[in-house]
Amino acid sequence: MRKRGAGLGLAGPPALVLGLTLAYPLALILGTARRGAGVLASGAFLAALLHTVAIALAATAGAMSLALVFALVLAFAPFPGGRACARVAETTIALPSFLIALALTFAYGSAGVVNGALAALFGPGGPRVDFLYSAWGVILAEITIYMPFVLRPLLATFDAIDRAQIEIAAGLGAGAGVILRRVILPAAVPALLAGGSLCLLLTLNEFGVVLFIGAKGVITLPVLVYDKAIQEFDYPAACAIASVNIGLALALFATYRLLLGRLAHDAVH
Amino acid sequence: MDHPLPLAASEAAVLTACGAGLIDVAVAFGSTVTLDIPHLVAARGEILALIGPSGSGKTTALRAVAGFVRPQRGRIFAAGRDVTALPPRARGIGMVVQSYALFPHLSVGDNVAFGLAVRGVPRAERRQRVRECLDLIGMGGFETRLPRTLSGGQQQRVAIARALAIRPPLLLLDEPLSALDAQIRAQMVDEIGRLHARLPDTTILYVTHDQAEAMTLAHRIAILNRGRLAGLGSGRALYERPPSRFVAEFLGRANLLPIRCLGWDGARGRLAVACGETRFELATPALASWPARMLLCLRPHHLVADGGAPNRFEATLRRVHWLGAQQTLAVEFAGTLLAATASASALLPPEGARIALGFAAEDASLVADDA
Repeated sequence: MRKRGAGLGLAGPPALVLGLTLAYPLALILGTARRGAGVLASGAFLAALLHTVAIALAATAGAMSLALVFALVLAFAPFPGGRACARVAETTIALPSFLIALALTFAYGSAGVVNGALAALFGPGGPRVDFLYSAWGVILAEITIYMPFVLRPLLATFDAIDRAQIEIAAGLGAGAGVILRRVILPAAVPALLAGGSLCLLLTLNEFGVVLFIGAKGVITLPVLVYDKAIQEFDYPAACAIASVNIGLALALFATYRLLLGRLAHDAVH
Repeated sequence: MDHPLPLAASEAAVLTACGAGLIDVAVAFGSTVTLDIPHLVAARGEILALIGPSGSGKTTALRAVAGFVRPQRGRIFAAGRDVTALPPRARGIGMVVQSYALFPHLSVGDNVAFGLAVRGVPRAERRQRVRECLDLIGMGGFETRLPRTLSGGQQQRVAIARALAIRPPLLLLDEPLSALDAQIRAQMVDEIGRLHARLPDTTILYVTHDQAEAMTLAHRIAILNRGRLAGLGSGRALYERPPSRFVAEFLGRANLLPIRCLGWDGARGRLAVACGETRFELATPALASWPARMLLCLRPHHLVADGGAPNRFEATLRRVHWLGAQQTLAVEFAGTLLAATASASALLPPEGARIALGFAAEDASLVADDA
């Protein structure tokens, strides 16, 4: 009984901190959201929801595809400097997301390096490469930022594949395509799904990149929350939209944890 | 790769009938030559074991036959075909490795069926062959199990079934039992022997570091050292008449004594040799010439306390270990520490005393001192 009391005593401080910093503000948001639920039927919300999901799915698919190709090349067709490339790609995790958006602006923006070079070659005129200030620009930036989140677990998985499996498959008559499809990719699925889920979660909540790129007509749920709360002072509406965003994020996070647990289970067994 | 030299007609005929062959094969990684085999041929249906110390090139030889290592020179034959230029998938060779390398996401049945599916074998025939192969290795009824639910011995059986499913004329086994504990390993050696008896046309190249496995299973043993063939023959021949000091010391335990030859008695078929001041007589074949440095090779179980004439000598007893069935002795003779044996009931003098030892003329052999 004393042990139980001591345990409760030890759990008290962290519970208090979590309650004050997370549970109470979340409860306030959810409580306030009821008063602004009407916004959920508006065209602006539905457009933002559509943009958010579409951009997140496209960026995640792009990040997963790019990471898969990159990881396959690094693990099974290594080239001089390949590991250094992987390190550079992984380093982008440490960089603030707006910095990537800024770098893309310098590269592909209206007055960026690419448009400058094209203008020097073909004469003055409007920007010839003009995708950055659209949903495509946001997707490109998010792929660049979040690709390492998929690359890292994929590289770890490919490193752990017994090379003898590939040799045995080749000895049994399998060509490169069959080995990729029937030996390598099945091993990569848990890592791909876990990395992809994390990527989807982060792109769903991405705010800085969308705001920094300032793509015309691209309003996502976090940006809409910002607009409602900061620019229109409509806190109940902002809370209602945020609640939907929280629900989406928590559902994805649960999926991510589930897949991560499966990955760990597969690694142990 | 260097352009291979044309083969003589007689050799070409032998190779087209062989189970596996490496002819003038050299493999190098950078400037380091890891394999240099002038001629090593396994007959069809033969089990040829490749043994040698770590880094001797035995696995490299096997991987060269499988096609995973490209030789800088030479020709490789599998089931009578020159496969030197063929990729691994076109060689039709079954392979089993130490780590089993089962595909973890596929069931036992799908693992065994992998090679058949790749080759486009119809589904019904595939099922039939999978069942046959699993029955062959005593794993019938395990089709739906995942590899991770099986023991090490069971996984290795599945790996063997997977290799056999494509009905390869040549099976490469690369230390297949090394990951198993001693008891299971002994069982598996027997099972592989029985398996080969049921598939007598299948040639097996068997890489192992376990000499007992090689002695038990193989028709012949190839001993590799530093990438070169140091000895080739039946386990018994290599053990009783080792061709070199390396083979004598590698295969079992050997007492090696430097000797000088005194003369050949043709009438009695005996060679007289001397080790220091002690004279011995050996039943060895007549030699055309004597190598400059010769060693007398005596296996410990041939050197016995109170041994028979004519080769008796006295040594100093240094240590005795009682092992139940027999006693092993460490004795000092002519400045060399020798291993000898005595029966469990033999009464021995105390350590440090002189002891009479002996060996039969037929039990000794001569080896060139190639150290």
